[in-house]
Amino acid sequence: MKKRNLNAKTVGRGLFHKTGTLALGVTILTTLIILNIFSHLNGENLIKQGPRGLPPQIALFQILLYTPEVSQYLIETDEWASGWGDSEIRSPLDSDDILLLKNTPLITQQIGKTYSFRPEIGLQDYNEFTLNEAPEGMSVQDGEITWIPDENQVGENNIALRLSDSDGLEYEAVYSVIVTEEFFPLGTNRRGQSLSGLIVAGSKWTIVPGLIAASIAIFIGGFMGAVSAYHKDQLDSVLSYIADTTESVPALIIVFLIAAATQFNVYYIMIGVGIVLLPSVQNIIRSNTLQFVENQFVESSSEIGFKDRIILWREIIWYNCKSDLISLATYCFAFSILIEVTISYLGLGVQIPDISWGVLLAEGRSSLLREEYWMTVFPALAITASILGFIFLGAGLKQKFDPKLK
Amino acid sequence: MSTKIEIKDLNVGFHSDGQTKQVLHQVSLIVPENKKIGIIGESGSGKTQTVLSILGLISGEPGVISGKIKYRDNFILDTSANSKKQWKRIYGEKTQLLRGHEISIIFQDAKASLIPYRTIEEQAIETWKDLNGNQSRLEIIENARSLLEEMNLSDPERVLRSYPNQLSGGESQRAYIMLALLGSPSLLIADEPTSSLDRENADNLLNIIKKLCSDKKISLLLISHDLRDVIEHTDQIYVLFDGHVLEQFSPKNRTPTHPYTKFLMSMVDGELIKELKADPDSDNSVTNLVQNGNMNEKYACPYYKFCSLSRTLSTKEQQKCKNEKPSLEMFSDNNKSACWHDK
Amino acid sequence: MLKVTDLKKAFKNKDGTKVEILKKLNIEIKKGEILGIIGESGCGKTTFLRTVLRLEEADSGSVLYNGVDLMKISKNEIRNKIRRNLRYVYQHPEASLNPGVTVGKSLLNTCKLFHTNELEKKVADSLELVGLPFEYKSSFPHELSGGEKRRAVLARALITEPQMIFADEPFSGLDKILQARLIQSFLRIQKQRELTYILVSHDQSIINNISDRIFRLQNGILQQIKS
Repeated sequence: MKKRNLNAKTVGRGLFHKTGTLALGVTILTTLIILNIFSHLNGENLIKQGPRGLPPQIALFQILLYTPEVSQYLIETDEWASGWGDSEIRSPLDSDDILLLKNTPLITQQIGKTYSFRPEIGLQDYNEFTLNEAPEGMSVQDGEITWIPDENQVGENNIALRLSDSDGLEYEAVYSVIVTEEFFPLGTNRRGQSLSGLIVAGSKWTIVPGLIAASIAIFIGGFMGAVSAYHKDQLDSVLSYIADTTESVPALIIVFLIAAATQFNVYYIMIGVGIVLLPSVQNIIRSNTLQFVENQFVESSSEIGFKDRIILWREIIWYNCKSDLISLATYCFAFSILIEVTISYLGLGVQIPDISWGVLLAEGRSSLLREEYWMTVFPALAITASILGFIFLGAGLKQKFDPKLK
Repeated sequence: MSTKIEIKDLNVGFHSDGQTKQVLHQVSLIVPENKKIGIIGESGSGKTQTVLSILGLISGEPGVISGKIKYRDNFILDTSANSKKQWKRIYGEKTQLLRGHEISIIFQDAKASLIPYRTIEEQAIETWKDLNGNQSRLEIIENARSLLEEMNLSDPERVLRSYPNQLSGGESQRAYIMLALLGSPSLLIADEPTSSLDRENADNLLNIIKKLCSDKKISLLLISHDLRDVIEHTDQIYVLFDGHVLEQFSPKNRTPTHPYTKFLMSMVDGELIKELKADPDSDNSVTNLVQNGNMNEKYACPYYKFCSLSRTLSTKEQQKCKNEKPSLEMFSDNNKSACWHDK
Repeated sequence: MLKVTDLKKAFKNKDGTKVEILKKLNIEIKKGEILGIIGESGCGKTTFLRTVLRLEEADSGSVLYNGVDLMKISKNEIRNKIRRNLRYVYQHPEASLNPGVTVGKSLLNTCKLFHTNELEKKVADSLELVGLPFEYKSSFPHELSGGEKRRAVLARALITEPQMIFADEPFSGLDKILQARLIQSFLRIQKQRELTYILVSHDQSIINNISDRIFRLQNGILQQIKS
């Protein structure tokens, strides 16, 4: 069996393997485009309503992201109780003193779907538990609770497990399960909107803004860079000066100014982002073109008989700078997503009730204190995946189109 | 007869893309005491690797595969004795001791090899300090000055006090040679010193080197791709092609017979070009665009694919070229040629 | 065929002084000949070639080609009528071959400028003429060896079916076997296409034996030496 040399170098090389990155990038881009189409067509209707603050209904996510509250009590019989009323005294127990349930139950389920829970009791020598309080249809068999909620049980359902240990002490563990009509795979936010719907709705800010910024940066910046390098004269100094000035102003300042002036119109802001990205494109194209101008390439192309225009735009830019332009374009998309998220998070971009992932992050911020992670985690993952998707796409396409890397 | 350097059956190769490319095949070479030996070869012939092997500067894996090298009757490389680890260690240690001290080397571009921010004087002192550290500044400078004088420089003091960019081409060359000879080496290796020079300047430079080596009893190993360098200025010439020694002859008393050497000669004196001009379509010349055999196949004789002599042979004789590697056959007077059919 | 009269060109030094590289240079180039030009490096051989072809502007003088003065016509006319007939082969192929384009496409684009029919065939023919295998059509310049790049550049010069080729050190930097092959290609092509060559080289053994006439460029003028 051949021993594969696994070290940082080979793993790194594998990560950026031509086919791998391109495939990944294309997959993510396709997903975004599909989501975009859905979002533009359906808009807000996609977003299902449900209980507020619901954790994700996909079991795996629920377990990872949420620890439900389970109340624990010590049950003692009240010797002084009268004949009627509660003859039990319930004393709350701290989870530091004793942990009745070692594993966490799921606390939400959709109607018609099976709810099951096999509790791990934290007592030694316990007798089997019983259900002191449970919704209709819930049964216990071999230590496993099963139940299929129906439409009458939508809402909160309390479940109380009663246990006794060998000393005869009785305990009770209580928690509630929320039953929903719809399926909320990623949970809901504070207003009861399905997070999965929100994410789809917010995806509309991933493509179009990037398109605006990229078009401005690539076409205008590329043009300026190419022309200034080819006709290296006064024009070059002026254009380089403009590029340097634009580059030195922090991107966010320009963005904030446009946000304030246009009342947070994201599309105008993206024009600003395009202007911010312009100098980078200009400089790269300019330096690439200069390489050709400074050796005898331009002259020898004229010697063949090519016109100046053809030499610049076809021979230099199209044949040689294509790959750089493509990877710069994808970078513009990635950057635009980042800017949109930042300004929406700060309240300077997409405004509520409009949805964007940045807005979701902002809303989810206060929920973090309540340990409602999903409201932040899923938008954040979506943002990261989109940005990475564009970066991979850029890397993959650049490899494909760069003649020197063949 | 005592020898300065003796290389025997040296094989050197490098791994690349999962394959091993061998750059030197059974190369054997002798530099006798006080003699001037030339190596002629084009790019890819292995001449640089041969030089590096004497200096112990071969980098890459595996590098030296097998062979022996002796310096003054002492083995500095012997792959048949001891384990690989041991002979590698000995090789490294011994060559390090020799480099710069007993074996000195000058390369192609004198101006580029001098340190641009030090005067010639300072470079002489730094060089000598690395080597010895015993002599005083004045002694070193005096040595340097007299060496420059021996090379026909009229005002060596000015040259010593100058920076390299203030010197003319000829002056910087002499300064470079002076620095190489400062440590009184017993062998000087000159690796393509005339590459960027025209014929006249090349001859001048080689004459200077020759004179110094003769006067100081230094053996000379001259490497070049230009036949004229070695024919005029050496006692014996080794012809390298694709990592093989194809011919070994003394220019003074023997005309070479190997088809490759003959081809090189005919290019130098222009005879081949005259032929081509008279009849460009001729099929008999070595330059025929159609090679012998298959471009991608390997034949026993490394020169077979390009050989014009083989085209005049019978099929049976050609088979011999294709399948049996010709060894260096001795004629007489130490002249050898690796060809079945040139006798 | 080509008559150069009183060609002058001077360069300005960094300190403002003028250096006259070409001083009243005269030469007449005959059809079908190989003209060799030698001279010290830096003496102006390259400048001479480039000025004649108007890749650089001369200070004064005339260059008559088939009755037309190349110094006087417009750049457009040069591009449309002259370039295809008087081709220049650069010393360093790295600067002339477009690294982003395959050899075949490069040849095709060149061919398209001046021809409309049988383009693919012309590309194939020019590759064969210089001894490059047909597969090299889809290779990029960086995949080619030094000698192969030279041949590619030569193919590109020949594809426009020129009358004269001005070659600047076409054989330097190649190993001898490759040099010999390239020289043979040059001579065969000349025979086939009845070309006129102007060759600049510092290699005496090549120039002496390949040229019909040899000129030395010294002190800004061309002087014929032997024959």
